[in-house]
Amino acid sequence: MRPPEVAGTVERPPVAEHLLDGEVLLASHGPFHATDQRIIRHEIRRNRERVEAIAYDDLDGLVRIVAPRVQTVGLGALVVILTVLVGPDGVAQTIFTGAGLVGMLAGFLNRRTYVELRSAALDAGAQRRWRIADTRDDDARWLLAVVLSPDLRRPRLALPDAAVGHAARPGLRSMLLTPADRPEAVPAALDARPDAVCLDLAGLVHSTRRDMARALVWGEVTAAAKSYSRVFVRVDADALREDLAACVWPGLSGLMVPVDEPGALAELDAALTALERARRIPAPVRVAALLTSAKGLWAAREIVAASPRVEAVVVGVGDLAYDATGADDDAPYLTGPAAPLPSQAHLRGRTALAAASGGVRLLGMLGTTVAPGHLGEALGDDARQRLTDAARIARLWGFHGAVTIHPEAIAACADGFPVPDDTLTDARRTLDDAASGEAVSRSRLRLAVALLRNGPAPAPGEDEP
Amino acid sequence: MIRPKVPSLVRRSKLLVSPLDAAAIERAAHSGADAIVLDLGCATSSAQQPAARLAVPHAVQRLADCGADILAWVDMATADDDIEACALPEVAGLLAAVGRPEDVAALDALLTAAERSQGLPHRHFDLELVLASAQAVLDAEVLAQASPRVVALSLDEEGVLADMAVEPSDDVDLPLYARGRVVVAARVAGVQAHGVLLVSGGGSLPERVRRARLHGLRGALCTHPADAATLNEGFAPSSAEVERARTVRDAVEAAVQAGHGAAALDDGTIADLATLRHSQAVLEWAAAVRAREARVTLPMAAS
Repeated sequence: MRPPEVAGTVERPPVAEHLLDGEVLLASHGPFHATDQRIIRHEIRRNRERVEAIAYDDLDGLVRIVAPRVQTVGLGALVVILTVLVGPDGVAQTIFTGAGLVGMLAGFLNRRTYVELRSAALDAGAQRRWRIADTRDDDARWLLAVVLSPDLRRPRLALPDAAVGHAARPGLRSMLLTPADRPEAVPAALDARPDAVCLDLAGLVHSTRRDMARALVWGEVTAAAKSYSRVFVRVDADALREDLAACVWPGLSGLMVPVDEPGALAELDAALTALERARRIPAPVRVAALLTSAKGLWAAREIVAASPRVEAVVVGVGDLAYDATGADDDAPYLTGPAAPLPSQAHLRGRTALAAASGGVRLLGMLGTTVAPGHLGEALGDDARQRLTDAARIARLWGFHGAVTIHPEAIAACADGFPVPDDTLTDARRTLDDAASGEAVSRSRLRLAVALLRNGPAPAPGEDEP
Repeated sequence: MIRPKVPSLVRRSKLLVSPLDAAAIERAAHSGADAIVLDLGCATSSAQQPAARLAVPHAVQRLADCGADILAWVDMATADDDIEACALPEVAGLLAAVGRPEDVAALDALLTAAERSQGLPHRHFDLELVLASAQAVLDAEVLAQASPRVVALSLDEEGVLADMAVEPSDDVDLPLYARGRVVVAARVAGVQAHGVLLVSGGGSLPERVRRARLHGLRGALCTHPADAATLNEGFAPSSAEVERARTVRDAVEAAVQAGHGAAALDDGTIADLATLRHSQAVLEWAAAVRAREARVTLPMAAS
């Protein structure tokens, strides 16, 4: 029996045809595209393509221009003139003239702002086409930030094709772990709409039921692939071959794999590549590296760098809710018998740096020491708020999301992990300041772009099979 | 004990100015900052860089007599042009955001060439490495040892936070570990650890400076002339610390004379060779700060 094909490929933007070898698209807004090498203006009009480009070295500067809306003013004036010439009587004349004047006034007051990219390499006619409108749009802000700062042109910050033109990617705020030997629990897990559902072949499944879980997981992957959530499977490092054979089918987005040394990823990579080819998986299967051992935590940086498949690091020791909520009295309920990390600040800081050095996300565990269905008993009536607070503070510690076993915690992750609105407003202001010519440090620009993009950007080319 | 290569380096406050901003340069000359950093690569956009390079000699001339170290922040991507523009005898050193040891080696080679062509002594220019990414912080130890010119590592918290996509927070000091790592790496290499803009952990500027100094930093960047005095004061040892260091030193010296390894102080604490080492470091730093302040020819706001 062969599972059905899944259409999962991403449509490339038309401008991709015009990129040079090795050129990476970094930001797009309207007809403008910023790459690591130049700014491209790509327009399709009446089925004819016009492609122009300015290399960054030829760019003389950016000028922000605020101008009245000439067309609106002109239209208003036309109405006034026609009214006077044609000359309808009395009330009608007053109304038409008034409307025309209001139109002119609106054109003057409701000015439009655009940024013109100036270059001596352009003639006067071409120069007019290099005006970037709607500069209050986030895509325009990124484009201008990339144009302004060479540091933002590092290919590491490239957007995958799918993300070009879209503001925020949801990322991996929540991953809901559910045992694969209980297919009846999968629909309930999907109803909670986690960013990813993670079907467990390992810890949550009793050793006598592992074979049953493996037999069921293909159907669960195929069914879950049609849902809102991405589909992950947690595999057991000691039964890797059997687990991979059972779960790597079209529809699978990623694997959660316990890793304690970078070498393990080479083995995994080879096995995955073979299965992807044999089973025609449309996009490469990603890896969320689960660090549960001291050895794994210590080697975090090397593990992150060991394979381009690694998309996230999951810190599997110490529940985020332990000290993040600040409620020490209840901490034993939250963490159960598991001890917290000996030095949270040190290990979190070190792991966050390791994840960041590879441009991958950092996930923690949220409420994983409380039995499913018992959140209220463990955390009280305000369990949801407590979990949201934990997520919010965990984000400031560098976590981008969390793995949980509670459907109730998904909403807490969705509320607690996104960058808050006032921070986004500040980030937009930073980019606007830079585009207006104010001195803004490149690090601050990079930070603003990262915040607006909601997470570290993936490495280039990793979406290509 | 690791001996610092540059015990006399005192750059508690580094005021960033654009070479294109004549008014800011004038204010900087009167700010009392230990160092003034001409910006070619920090907040100067690539479109402004050519004009900024041309303005460097004039800015240097204006600042030459104010007593502050003149530094330049160059852009790694255009390091050759930037260094050519600011390789002047009055310039003491460079700052640059680096990622790999090869970046440091490249800067070193460019500076050597510039010294030769300008007829300046070898290693006239020193280097402060700005660590503005997670990768750079993790490689701090290797970077610090990549060139003998390096006198300081400067942790750019905003750059590191950008890699994590987290804003600086008053509640959580996420760069705490990075700061510790940079301080240790700097000490291993015998150089100083500095901050860029101290943005994390909350509190007023004097509080953030105090925390930074307790974490082992010796200076930071500022963009406003009025902040220079705050940084100068916050990064200098307080008179109480100097007083205590003298007490410890005298007590240990007296104890050693008398044939003892340690002495009890009036407050009941012990003064031994370990505390002596710390006290000597405080006294050396205090002496260096005094010498630095004696060089400043303009009215100082800091004590």
